[in-house]
Amino acid sequence: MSFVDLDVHANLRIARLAPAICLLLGPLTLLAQQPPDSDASGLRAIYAQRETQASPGVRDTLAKLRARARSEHWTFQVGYTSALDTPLEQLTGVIPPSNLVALARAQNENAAAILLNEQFALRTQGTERRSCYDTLAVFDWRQHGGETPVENQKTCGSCWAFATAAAFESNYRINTGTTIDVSEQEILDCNGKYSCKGGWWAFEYIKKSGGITSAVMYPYTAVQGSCQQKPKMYIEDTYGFVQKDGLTPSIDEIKDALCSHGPIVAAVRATDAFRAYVAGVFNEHAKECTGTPDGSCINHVVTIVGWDDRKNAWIIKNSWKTSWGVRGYMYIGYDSNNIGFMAAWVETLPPQ
Amino acid sequence: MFSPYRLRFGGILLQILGLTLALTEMHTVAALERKYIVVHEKDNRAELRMRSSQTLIVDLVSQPGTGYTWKIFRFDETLWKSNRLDASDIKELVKGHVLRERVQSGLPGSEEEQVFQFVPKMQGSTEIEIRYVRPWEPAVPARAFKLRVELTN
Repeated sequence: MSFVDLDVHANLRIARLAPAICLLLGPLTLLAQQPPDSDASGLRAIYAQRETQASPGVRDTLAKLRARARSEHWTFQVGYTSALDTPLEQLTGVIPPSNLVALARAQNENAAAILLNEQFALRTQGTERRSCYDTLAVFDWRQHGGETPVENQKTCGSCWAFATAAAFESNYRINTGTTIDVSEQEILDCNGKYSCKGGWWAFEYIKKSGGITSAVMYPYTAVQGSCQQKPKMYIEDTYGFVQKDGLTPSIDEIKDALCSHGPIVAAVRATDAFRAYVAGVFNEHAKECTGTPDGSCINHVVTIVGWDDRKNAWIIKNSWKTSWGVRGYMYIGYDSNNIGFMAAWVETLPPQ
Repeated sequence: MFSPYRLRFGGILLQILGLTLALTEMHTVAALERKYIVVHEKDNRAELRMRSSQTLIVDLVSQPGTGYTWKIFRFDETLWKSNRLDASDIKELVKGHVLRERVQSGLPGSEEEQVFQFVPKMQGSTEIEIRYVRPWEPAVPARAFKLRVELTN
């Protein structure tokens, strides 16, 4: 058996002399080519030089930053550092969609107008929603016609597609009484933005593409492929964020959204303990989420299907098969592991 | 004919050569004195020889949003002391340039780093196996990472 020997025992006697000779002789002919000073003024000169070759986007960013520096009396300078070549989301941890607050507010305004125009309350008054009140101590959509099967995303990081589909299917069932199975693979292949390496809700994709096909027509493979055009069988009406800015909502806001629209999608921090959960109320309060900005610790997406005030917990549906947790579900403490970040609801339309 | 321009150009080449050789030497010295040996998933099924004074770091990528995680399946406890490193330990390794800083996409479902440390107790020949499993279904790993190691003096 041959092993890779990590210790290199080459004879380096000549090599050890050569660099010294070259390094001594080389600079004699290079006196006219000294690099800029490495002090602050030297660095500023380097950044200034880089800036002359910067893209219009970088120049625009710097102009805005300098305007802020003047108006807010910053005591530091800005310049074209290499960090400006890297998107902010790659320098930080979790990436909420760009302009999340503006997006959430605009979408919620848009959704409210749509629902008002459709006399949403009137349309949905005969549904199981009437059994849900946010003053109830316990409410579980599984016992009120909102349950759909627990799925398995396998090794693909498509939790975002599964949660999107789960909320869509539950809302459709609550609205029509019919159980459907929409295609997570269509979302994965066709959304144009996200992949098996992660993503955010795909309600915007379903809305813009005119609906979604079924899982039978477009089955899940756990690998992103090229987008196939299939008949759109189920139509989205609109969607919205539970908290006006898209951040983590209060307990009352989540309960209200659950009663109004059915199960909702929400982000959470999945840890080793989360993966190992089998029963009880999960109240880990992951250290990664303690003292960090809202949403900065999350790495997974689930569907909230109900609550239990006696346990101070949400009931969540995962996409890790029924062999995980309690038949695929978990009780998670109201404020544990940043559950609820970017919570969103969806409304579907009945068949035309 | 002698030209100052040629001399200057030759000087640049000479200096580049010198720097290259100097860096090569530094790299070699670093390998001899290196405290940590780092392996990644691309090194799966590799066979390596390391000193028992060195520490083995196994740096693997997982996606917590899938439910899968890397778990040590097999290693010889008489030869190694092992532990999984937490985020602060990993930061220290990155700061000490043992591990390179990995850019994360920051999306739910995205990749994260799982790092294991193996500290040799004595010399010997051994195998390490780490499996990518869901904790509630350990018998069906999605992937496996195996390493054959010879620990020398």
